[in-house]
Amino acid sequence: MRRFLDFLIAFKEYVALTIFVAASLTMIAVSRTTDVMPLRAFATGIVGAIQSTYAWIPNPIALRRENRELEARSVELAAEVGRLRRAEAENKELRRLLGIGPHKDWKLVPAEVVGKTTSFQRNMLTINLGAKDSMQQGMAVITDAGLVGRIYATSQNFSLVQMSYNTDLRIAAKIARTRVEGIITWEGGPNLVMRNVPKALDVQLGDLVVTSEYSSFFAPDIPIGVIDSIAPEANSLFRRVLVNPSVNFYRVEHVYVVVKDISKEKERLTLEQKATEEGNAPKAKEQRK
Amino acid sequence: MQYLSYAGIGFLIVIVQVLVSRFLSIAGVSPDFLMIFLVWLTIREGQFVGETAGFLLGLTLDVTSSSILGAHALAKTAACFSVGYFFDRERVEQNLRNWPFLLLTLLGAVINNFLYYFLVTRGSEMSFSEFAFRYGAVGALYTVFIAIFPLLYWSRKRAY
Repeated sequence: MRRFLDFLIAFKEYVALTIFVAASLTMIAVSRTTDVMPLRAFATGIVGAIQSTYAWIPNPIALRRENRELEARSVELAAEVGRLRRAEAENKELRRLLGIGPHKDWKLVPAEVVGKTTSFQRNMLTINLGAKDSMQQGMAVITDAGLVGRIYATSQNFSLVQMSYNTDLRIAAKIARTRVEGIITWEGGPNLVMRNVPKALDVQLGDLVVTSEYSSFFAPDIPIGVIDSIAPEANSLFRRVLVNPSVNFYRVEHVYVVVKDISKEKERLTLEQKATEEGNAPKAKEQRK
Repeated sequence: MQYLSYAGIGFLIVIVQVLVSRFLSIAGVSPDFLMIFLVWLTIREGQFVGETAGFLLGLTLDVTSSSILGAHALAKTAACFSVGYFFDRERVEQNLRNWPFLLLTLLGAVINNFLYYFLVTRGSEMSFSEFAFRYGAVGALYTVFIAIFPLLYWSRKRAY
């Protein structure tokens, strides 16, 4: 025993290195599980509370740039408002003629960004609304420009928002012009990637990509971005579509949380899952035989 | 008592790293204040203290920055272990107040960044080489640039 202790002391640097590396690798392995969520939510609460105390400090360079962008955007929006008013009136009339009810309006709750964590793979925002303000995991977060991401974890007073620039996030999306569906992911570059878009379907540069009705978290028709490039995927029936995001994730300061009744979405998912399981049951029986 | 003060300073630097680094971010690249502190600590106290501090403070950074749990801890442990090879009890003050401090900061930052980006790009379609160069190498140089300021401060302290 004595000799063993002497050995440990003599090689303590290597023993410590082995223990620390093993502990780190174990944590990396469990990092993606939901078991660590309470710890993350607790840390978010503390960091968010500190960040909110100095969130008022302006960043002059970012403010100037944002101001220019907002001016340009207000001109674009003024033109768009006119077009949308005409389209809305036309849409209402057509829906009435077809006997389809109106769209449900989502409640938007304004929030301030009090912190940003850009860890390259998992970019997050911290906003100043939490469980106390009825924020729930999975709620969509948007700006006037489009989709920012969704709430990942909440503490009492703060919420952690998983941005679209996050490799863990998958968003059901569609091309607004042609209703072609796909999945939006991020691979680390400046653009988002729209996957599962068949080569045969109509996709053009500059097409607007919006959230799809099939999304379990996001309300439909929230702008995600415009198509920046289209390339065929090697040995595949699909295209690789790069989408230039409509939101500048690095300069987001004010956002809106889309508050909607998630229980209905859960009910829908449960029903769909049940149907899938029932469909798979006979196959499983056959396989067992 | 001395180790408690190291822990306190380290924790404060983690908070500064999480809260202030966005103001110093240039094209998405931020300096690593914690790495500078860990190199200083390793040169001063040796390999064992350095790697232990690297693991504990790296883990604190992981928790507070929403990074992959364990990624900073592993990268900083390995970086401090490597820097610890150059620990020389006889030359602590000289190493801290001269160019070896900058060289060791560069070594630590490069190991830390490359290991960290390897871990965060693992399993995704992100290109490790692109990330390692753009954020790893450039980030390491930015960290060394920031490390010049404490070095100048310590050098001046010696002069007066």
